[in-house]
Amino acid sequence: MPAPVLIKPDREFRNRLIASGGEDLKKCFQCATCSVVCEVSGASQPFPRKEMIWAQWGMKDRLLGDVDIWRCHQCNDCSQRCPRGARPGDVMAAIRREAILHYSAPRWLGNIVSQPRLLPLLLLVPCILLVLAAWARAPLETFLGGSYTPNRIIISYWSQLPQWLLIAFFAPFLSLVAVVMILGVMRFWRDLKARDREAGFIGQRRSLAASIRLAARSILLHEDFDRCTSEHSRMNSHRLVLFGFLGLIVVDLWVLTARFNPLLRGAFAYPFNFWSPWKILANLAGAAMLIGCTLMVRNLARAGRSGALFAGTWFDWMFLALALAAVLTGFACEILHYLRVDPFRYAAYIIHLATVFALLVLLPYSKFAHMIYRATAMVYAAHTGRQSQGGLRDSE
Amino acid sequence: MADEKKNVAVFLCRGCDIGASLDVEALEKVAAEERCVGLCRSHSFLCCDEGVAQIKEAVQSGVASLVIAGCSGRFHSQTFSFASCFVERVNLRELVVWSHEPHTEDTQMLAEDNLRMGIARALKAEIREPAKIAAQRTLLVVGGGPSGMAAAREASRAGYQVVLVEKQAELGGWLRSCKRQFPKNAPYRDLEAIDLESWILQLEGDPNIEIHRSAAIRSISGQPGQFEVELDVNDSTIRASVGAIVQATGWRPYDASRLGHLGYGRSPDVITNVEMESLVATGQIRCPSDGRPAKRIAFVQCAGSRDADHLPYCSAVCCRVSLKQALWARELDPEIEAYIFYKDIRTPAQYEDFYRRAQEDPGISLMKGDVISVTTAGGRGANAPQVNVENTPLGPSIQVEADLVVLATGMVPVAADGEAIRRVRDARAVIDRGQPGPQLDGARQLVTELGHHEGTDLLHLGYRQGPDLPVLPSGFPDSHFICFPYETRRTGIYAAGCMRAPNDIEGCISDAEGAVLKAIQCVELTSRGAALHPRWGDLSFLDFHMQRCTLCKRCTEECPFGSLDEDDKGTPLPNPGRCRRCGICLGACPERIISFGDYSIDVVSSMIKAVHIPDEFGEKPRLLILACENDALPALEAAGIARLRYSPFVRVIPVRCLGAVNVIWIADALACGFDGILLLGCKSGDDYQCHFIRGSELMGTRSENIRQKLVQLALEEQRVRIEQIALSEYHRLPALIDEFAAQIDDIGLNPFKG
Amino acid sequence: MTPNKRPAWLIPAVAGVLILLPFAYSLGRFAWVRTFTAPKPFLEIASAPSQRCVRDPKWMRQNHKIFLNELRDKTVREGIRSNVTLNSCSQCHKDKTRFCDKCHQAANLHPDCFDCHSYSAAGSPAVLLRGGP
Repeated sequence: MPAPVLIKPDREFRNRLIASGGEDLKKCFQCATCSVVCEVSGASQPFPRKEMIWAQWGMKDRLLGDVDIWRCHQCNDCSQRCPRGARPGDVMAAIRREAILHYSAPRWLGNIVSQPRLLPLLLLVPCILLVLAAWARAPLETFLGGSYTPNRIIISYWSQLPQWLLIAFFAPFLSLVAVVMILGVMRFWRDLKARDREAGFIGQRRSLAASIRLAARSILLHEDFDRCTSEHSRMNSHRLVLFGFLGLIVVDLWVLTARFNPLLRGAFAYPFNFWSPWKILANLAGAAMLIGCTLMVRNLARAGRSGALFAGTWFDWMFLALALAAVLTGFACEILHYLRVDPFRYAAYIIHLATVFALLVLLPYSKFAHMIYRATAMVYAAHTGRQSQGGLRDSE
Repeated sequence: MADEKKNVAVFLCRGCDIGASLDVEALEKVAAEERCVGLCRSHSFLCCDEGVAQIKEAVQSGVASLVIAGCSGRFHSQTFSFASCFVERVNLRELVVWSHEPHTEDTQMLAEDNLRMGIARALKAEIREPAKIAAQRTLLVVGGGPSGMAAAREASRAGYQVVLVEKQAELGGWLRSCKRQFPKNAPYRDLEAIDLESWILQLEGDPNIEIHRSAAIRSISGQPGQFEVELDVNDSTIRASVGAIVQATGWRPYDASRLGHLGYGRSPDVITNVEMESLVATGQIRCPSDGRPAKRIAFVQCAGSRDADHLPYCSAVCCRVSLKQALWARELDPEIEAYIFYKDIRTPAQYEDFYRRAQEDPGISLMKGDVISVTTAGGRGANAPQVNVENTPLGPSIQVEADLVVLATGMVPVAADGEAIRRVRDARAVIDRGQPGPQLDGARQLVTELGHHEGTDLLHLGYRQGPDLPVLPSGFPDSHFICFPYETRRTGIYAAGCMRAPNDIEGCISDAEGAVLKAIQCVELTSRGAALHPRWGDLSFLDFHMQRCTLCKRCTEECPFGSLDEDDKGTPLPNPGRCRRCGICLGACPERIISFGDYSIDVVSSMIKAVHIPDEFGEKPRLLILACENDALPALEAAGIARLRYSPFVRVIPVRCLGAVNVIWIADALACGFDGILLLGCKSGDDYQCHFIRGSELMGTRSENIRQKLVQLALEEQRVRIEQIALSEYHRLPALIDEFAAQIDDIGLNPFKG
Repeated sequence: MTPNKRPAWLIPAVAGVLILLPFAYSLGRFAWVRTFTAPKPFLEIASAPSQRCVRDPKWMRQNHKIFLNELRDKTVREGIRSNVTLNSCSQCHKDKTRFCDKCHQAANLHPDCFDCHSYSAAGSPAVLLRGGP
């Protein structure tokens, strides 16, 4: 007989879960309909039933280090079928939020930046700073001893905000974000292993390389989205956003590394020519992201009206709103540039940069972090041999 | 004995396939020529107005007994009942044409034998004046808790007088110590207040109700309709005559000192749900050990219930009570966390909404699991008890710390084991006599075993079989639990409330109201000389030929209802009001001195002898089936309704109970030439079906006598078989009967034939 | 789902192709330019040059920038003059448009030499004073 495990319910944690989307979690009476219905959950270690009882009893450590909350793709099949209206899908989302805020340290910073009423500040501050930087460019250049813009490669949307200045502005924040994420992922991985040890789970192990390949494949093919029955349209909206985002990143990286690029000897001026393949890619990617975000907004709003499915908490809406703002301001920049509307195109540029900045700073503390944590969890799941077996599909 | 040429009229019905399957004229001849009946007619649909009119004509012209051959006596019982006339129903439908092949010799012989048996009975049976009893229209209600109070109120509303006896100084029972109850009205979410005072005032103001507080029963003697009650009330004696009794003596909590493994007695912070009730009522929940406010309360459900080592049954209300106490505690202090550990949550019917209400409260956490122990860890500050739970959704073995642990213990009925008390008394008498021998040793052994029952009498009934109701091993009064949970084994005494079965207040109130209606039924029917459950309205009554009684006491002991006392000579003293007309005493009596007017040794023997037994060359065996009227006969009829077929060699005689079968009939049957006898009755044992509780079991006991009889007659033991059958198992009958017939075939025909 | 659902890899494959397309374009263009549009400088060697090139063409192609800078430093800053001068080189290398500019323009280079030194078709590379050095 194993020694009894001391249970220490964490009331505050439970109350936070209830306050951030899991209002109905107390209604669960452990019938396991949700676990049976879940398409992602496998036969061993099924979920989200266990997460519901852990949530009811405030089992914080178990929930935060649980890989299954991230295997969940918020498809809402469980919430739709729950006979008590306990909405396990919403509870899983609330737990994920807690996990993000827990692993992306420091928590106080996370609490500050992720409050919706501070969002205007989060946009206003970088705007002001960028304007100041633009104004300070010339004295700075003098101070630093000359222009850093090689005249072979001209990357300047606006000469007042040359590339080097932007890089200098964004680099510290990028590094901070990178550090926070790396630390977060390391702690997360450690906790995942600890929970499995505690639970005595031993699956069929795969090598890390194979797991990464498997997870990448699953992510790109959107396999888990495809399994959802009640909200299959989310697969399309997420695909659009993901691939749009990837496309935009690729173009951005091309521009950022232009000076080191051997393929561009003396033949690069930015902004691109409209018919340049890079520009075409950027426009297509931007359009994809725009359509995807719009679809997401529409789906969330529709689900909210029907009342049955996940309507999103402010945690979700903030990320979505920022992403949408970034894309819209990006297109605004392009349109205003072609129309040569002079004061406004530079203003649009600054606002666009500010939204990108906000997204970056919020990366570890907002829903954006799911990109990293979910990917990590999927790699871990593949690494420890967790299988997904169909829920409804198998029985139909 | 009745005159052979008694005025008997026979009516044969040709409807329902009877006319199409039998030679009805031959039947008429049997009736008319062989048994000299006065009138014999057939009709194509006897139950129609015309047929009934014909019968009525015969009755008016002075016929004393009617034999109506057609469908089962369980159909058209009203159509074919005629005052002052004995009616014998002969079954030609279910037992003959529907279960055997039409127009064959065997089926015809079967029909003719049935008719012969019916006529034999009609000739022998007597209708007597019913034995009316002058009944008191007063009820005794023992116990003044919510059940007793509801009983008194209901009886008064029905126009009856009530004598309400309560042992405490105040009415109200356990309701006194409850301040709030779980909701009784939609939407079943909020706790409700209890208004006991106005209820008590209502009763006190009721002129029909006589209330005696601080009272105890000294003795109750007599029989339903005429109970004589003596009460001790505050040093004076009160006498009352009542017609029926409602026992609502309530419950007491299970002795928690036996739950040491759950911490009771080891830690002062482990209390029972009853103690918790007083604790929440104070308005502050403090730990008994050091008075600090309790912030974590663990509720252990099924503490000592549904447990083979303690109470095997569920006490119905503990789940709702714990939910109530948890919600109440949370109201008093929102910082309190309540943990409820359960095997199952039982919140029946609309109380599901109450359960959901408790679930929604963020501070109430529920979990399924087996609580195996409550321990206190030494040396840790406040010494808070820890609950150890296994098989939970949080893990196979977990421990949760709490400040206060509430054990939801169950209810134990306040009921005395009447039979055990009586056995102890008898043993004491043997010990007092002092004659050495095995009887003395046995008596001493019994006193050691059952001595704790001494002095626990409640009703103090002056019954030979014991001063209180017979109880089941759980302590609750023995009723026919499967079919008739509201009857007890003492006619005219009805159990109500938690003493009958654990229940909540609403359940107890409706229980009490039902018990009162049954008590009123008892008084009314008894005054007409009619029987109660299960032979409702039966006007027959027992007749004892005392001169031949050998004082063997078998009837007194074997009566399941304590209907027979002993007079000072030791002969049985019948109390007709207590009698349920089962006939078990008739079956028990070796001298065969007991009879009913329409069911006696002679009646059934005559029926047996009326059957034509073919000689051994006819190669047609004859099998007698004595089928009890509760399950066995209806099962045979159900087989007929389902058109199942079996051997046509059987001859069925309905008996009141297998216990009401006298061994002499077996001897008579064998002597007449029957090849085999099948005794078909209800299930006995722990989940007995026998409506008379013990009849079928007694037949099993008496089978030894039967076996000896067979040995005496140098016959094979297999000729007599006892089978238990339930009505729902009618589809087994053809196989059963045919297998019996095949076995008799193997053994060979009765050598006593011819 | 329905049996003729399109395969799961289709959309990601399309996205992948779209994302890689510009890469392919840039790579292809670079390779094309490299291979098929190599600059062809034209040189007309004078009938009787007073001296030959101090180094072979291959060396010059690679190092002419350093060579010229060192020449300048020696000549102008250190005062060491030799018989290797701009004028002597320009006996053969006299046509900027058809020689120097071919490679420079192809590689999108703008050496600042030509800010001051100009070549006239007639003769020697003179230092052209244009508003100061």
